[in-house]
Amino acid sequence: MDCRKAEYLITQRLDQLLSKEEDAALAQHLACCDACACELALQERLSTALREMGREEIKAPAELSSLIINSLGPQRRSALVRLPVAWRKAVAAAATLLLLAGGSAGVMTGLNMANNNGKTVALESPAPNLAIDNSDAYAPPNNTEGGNNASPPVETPAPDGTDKPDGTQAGSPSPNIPGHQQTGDINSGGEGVIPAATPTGSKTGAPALAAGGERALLSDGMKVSSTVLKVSVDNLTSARTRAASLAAGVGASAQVFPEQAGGKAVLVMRLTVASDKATNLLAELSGLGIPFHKQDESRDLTPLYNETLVQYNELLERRGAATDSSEQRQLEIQAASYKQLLDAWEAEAGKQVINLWLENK
Amino acid sequence: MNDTRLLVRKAQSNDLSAFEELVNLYQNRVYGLCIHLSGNPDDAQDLAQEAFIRAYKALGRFRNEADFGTWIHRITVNVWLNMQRKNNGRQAVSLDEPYQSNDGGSLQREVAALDGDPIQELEEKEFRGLVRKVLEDLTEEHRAVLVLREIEGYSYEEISRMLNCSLGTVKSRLSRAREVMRRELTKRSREAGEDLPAARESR
Repeated sequence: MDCRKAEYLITQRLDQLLSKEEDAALAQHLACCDACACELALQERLSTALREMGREEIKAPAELSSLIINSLGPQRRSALVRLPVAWRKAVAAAATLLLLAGGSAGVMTGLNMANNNGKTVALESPAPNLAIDNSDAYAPPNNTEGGNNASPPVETPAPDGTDKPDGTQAGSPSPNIPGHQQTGDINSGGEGVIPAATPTGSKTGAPALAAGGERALLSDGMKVSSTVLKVSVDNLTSARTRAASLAAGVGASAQVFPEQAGGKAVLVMRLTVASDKATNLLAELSGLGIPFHKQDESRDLTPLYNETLVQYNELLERRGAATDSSEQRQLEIQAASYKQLLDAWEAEAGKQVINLWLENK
Repeated sequence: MNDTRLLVRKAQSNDLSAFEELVNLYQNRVYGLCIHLSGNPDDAQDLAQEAFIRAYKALGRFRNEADFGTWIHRITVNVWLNMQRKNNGRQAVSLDEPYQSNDGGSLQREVAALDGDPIQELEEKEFRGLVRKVLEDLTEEHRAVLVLREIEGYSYEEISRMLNCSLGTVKSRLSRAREVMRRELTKRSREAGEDLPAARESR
């Protein structure tokens, strides 16, 4: 037997696939060939090592299943959750810090920094409510050939609950809903500037966007109540686990952002919870350690949302037009951070957001 | 098992919460495979997520007599292979270059045997660390068969179905993957300066 053949039999032997005769023939070869004997020894060791790796218990990250389910949900089809984790982590951390830094000023600074030729947008706000329309994902593809400045007056059904994503569509069965017309404006016009007010003033909301096509400009309804709760705890890891399970217990979604603050390990958790469950959850979270800061805040993010959306669309458009791949990637990353914000705001509208800050005692 | 079938059936009729249950049941298994294939937690999470999403979309094609775990592993490994082929920016150890001739292989091994192979001196933990590293640098096809066979414990037949290739291909890939693993292990343990005196009599 030559070594080549022996090598093949060694592999077979590892898988217990040798016949008696083959086994005997191999043994004979091994007896007089050190190299093959070593090979077998090493292969067996390798095999054992790999099998042991297979026996290690590996736990999926806590957020995995919710990420999967969220991206399959009928109402939300966020492209963000499909972004690579590393990107997501980066933009999510940035977004949280901006939000934590307080107020729209902080967010805007960040956004404008990201956008080199930022444009300003004026929007009419005293208009009927428009539900946040995530269900656009299922709307027909955008008609980018939509006429310029059409922005026809539309009777918005004006449901005021932000939790009725179907409201607008139900009210405007025609595929020619204003949003899609408006989309034409924004994208084909390439201006990224929305007319300050439509002539009729009945509505400024307009689903926008060709490329990622699933968002509406809002006239209202992007109100977010948030609470910053800072707690110092004995053990970050166990506090985190506990907080996550408390959150899960009331059906809250949670994102975790490990941070460093002045050399201190800090964990920021962003919990989005139904408003009626917030008080209880806050009380429970305070019990994780010693709470040392608590602040409630309520903000109307509508204008900010709209401006961000316009800028986001513009980024997508620029990305589509970009020929250079590194530029494209750059734009993609920027767009991802915008999208992160938009998604976060959408998810949080009408709910209570708890920014839980955990730090070691 | 019956529970799984029931859940699959429900999920097939668009019951998202049933699918969520399936995700919860199988996520560790899937994520484990993802870790072994991709080698790092971030990519593993992306991969696991994508695999479950694909699985959900393909649920209609799943026949319930099959094992759901194997089925989703199959999806996972194929998603991973596709991702790798698409990216293929990574430097993988080429498998075409070694062992072109019969005696090339035996020659290399002989040298190893005579020197007192430093790899034999590695502690179990070091050895495993090295195995992990080398595994990550294999070509995707070789890593896939090795992971499926050794780490996940699938049979040749199962692997051939999972990878949609012949039994012969599985065998030869596995054999070559092991060969390269061994060669790289030896090479790297030497490079790492593990130049220990021969502690072993020649067998």
